[in-house]
Amino acid sequence: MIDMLILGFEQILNFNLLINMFLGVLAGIIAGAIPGFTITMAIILTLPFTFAMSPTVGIATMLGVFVGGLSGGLITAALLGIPGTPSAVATTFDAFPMVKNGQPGRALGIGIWASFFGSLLSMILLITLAPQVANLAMKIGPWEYFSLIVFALTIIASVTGDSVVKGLLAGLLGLLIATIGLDPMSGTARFTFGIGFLEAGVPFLTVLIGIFAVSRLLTELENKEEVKQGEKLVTGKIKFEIFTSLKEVLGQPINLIRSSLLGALIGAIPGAGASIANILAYDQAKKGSKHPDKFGTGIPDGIIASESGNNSTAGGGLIPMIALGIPGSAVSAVMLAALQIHGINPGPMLIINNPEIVGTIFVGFFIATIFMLLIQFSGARLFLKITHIPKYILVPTVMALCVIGSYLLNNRYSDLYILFVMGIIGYFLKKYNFSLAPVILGVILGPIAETNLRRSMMTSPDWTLFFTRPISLGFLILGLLSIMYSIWQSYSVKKKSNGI
Amino acid sequence: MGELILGIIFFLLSLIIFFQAGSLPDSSYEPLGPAGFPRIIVLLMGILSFFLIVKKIRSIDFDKINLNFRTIYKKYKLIFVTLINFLFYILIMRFIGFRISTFLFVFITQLLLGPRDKKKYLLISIIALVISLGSYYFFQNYLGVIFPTGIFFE
Repeated sequence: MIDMLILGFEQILNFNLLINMFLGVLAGIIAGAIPGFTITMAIILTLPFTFAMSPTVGIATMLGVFVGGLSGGLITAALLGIPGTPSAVATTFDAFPMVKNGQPGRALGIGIWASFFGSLLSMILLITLAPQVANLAMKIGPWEYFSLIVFALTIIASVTGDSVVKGLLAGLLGLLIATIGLDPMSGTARFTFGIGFLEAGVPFLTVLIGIFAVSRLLTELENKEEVKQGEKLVTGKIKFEIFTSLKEVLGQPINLIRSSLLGALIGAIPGAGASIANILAYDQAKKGSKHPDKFGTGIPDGIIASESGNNSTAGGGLIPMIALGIPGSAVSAVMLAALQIHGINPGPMLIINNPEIVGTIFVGFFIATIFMLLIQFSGARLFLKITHIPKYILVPTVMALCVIGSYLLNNRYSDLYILFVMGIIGYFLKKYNFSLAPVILGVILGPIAETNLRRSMMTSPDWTLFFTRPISLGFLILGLLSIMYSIWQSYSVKKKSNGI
Repeated sequence: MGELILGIIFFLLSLIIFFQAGSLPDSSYEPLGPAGFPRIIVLLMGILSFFLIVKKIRSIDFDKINLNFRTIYKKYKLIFVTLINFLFYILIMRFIGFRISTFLFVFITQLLLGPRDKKKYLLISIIALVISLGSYYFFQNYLGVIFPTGIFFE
């Protein structure tokens, strides 16, 4: 292992490689901050550039884009309340309220440090646990998958906002939206109501942009007089203290480690990833907290959980890729493709045949994380200026960016109609205190849940398998516990507040 | 009141989807078929929205409801204005192209939302120009995205 790390350092300490990697991190951060521009897209766009590079330089550059992208979503999520990537959805829950309370510097600072430590912890896990975790991930069949998704769906119960019924309705709406279009198993068109373009389905990123971004922008316009006078998101001087935020993040070691572990584990399961991990980490932080009622009001705990949770999926996602040669996510799939183009065969033999590649990944990951920290902190003062732009300029501009983002996902004009409708739905749900996160969870998890449920029923019509396969049963029990715990928690919070 | 209406919409939606799902074909090799999963969803949705409706009807004070469109419009004027602009933006993009429609949307919406101050016009037009042309050439040149060009440039 030590040999491999030394080998990795030898590869990395190369001026050309470091420059490429730095640019990769920078590009990743920018891509992550633009709503609709995903990390996967950024990695795919990097792929052609890596053809001309040596395999180690190529893989290091892609790692840079990956790590940068995961932390870039933080910027727009915190400062505008619009998640730049799906992996930053839970960051908006507490970071944006903190910004609204007049502390944008604090929110950004905590987020950056949490990303940094999440990334670092997952790298340590990657180096030490790669083979073990990969073995566990391999035991996952459709039954386990379905049960995992059921577990993930139970998170809805704890991010419901003021009413569990309304939160569940929002989650069901998300599940229903995801069924529009061609059925994934049989190819039958479902619920298109004769509208041709709906057959292609409703892309979940368009739902994300519409529900979160467009509705958020409309909400900002509710106070007519102030907008007319050039109201800004934050008035007053912005404080940005790097070391105060560092202290705040390190003051919560349990939250940080738990969220990073969760993120790494979710990242290692093929198909899951950062978009689920951040909400799961937030949920667990809330459940483990002594003051769960404060979540959502702008406390550091929520930001730390979400940002360390999503950044640590990077290390987790690389575990099955290195140990088994199978991609844990779309991002690592593209990286695998890049290796294959250079004639390197990923698989269990990778560690033996190409130790320099594995070493580069380990060390490169570390360096990318450092670059991310440097770029984020030197850019932070610039990013923070966003909150001083008057709303009458900010709203139309960001709306136009949302249109661009939704359009370039598929180059499909009809997606813009979907964006418009989703924006209105999101606005009304938000207006009447339906929480929006369940909708997104539903849209992301719905198709995975349905496909695996039906696949498992096709493999064997025996539904008891969900309860007799140990990992599947474990996830289901976790799901049950999670629901029971959130009900108990919301009950005890209510009791406490009644007592005062 | 809004929650009640949303509850009713959810309830109607679940009814519609439930019956729509009935017309989907069955599958011989698969026990659940395309209709199974959506039906589970809308069944739960129907029950929950029914709960919500009952709960809200009990707590609502029907005398206080004010459905005067004019007062609602006045209160949410900026949102209406922005949404209408947004809809027009999407609808006309196909005809006049991405560049012109984006410029018009960003420019006009800023104008309508912002203070009436002639000094700001220059700033507003520069922003609209940068957003529309900048993004167009950036995405077209570097990412090969083809935006609608519109009848004026064909």
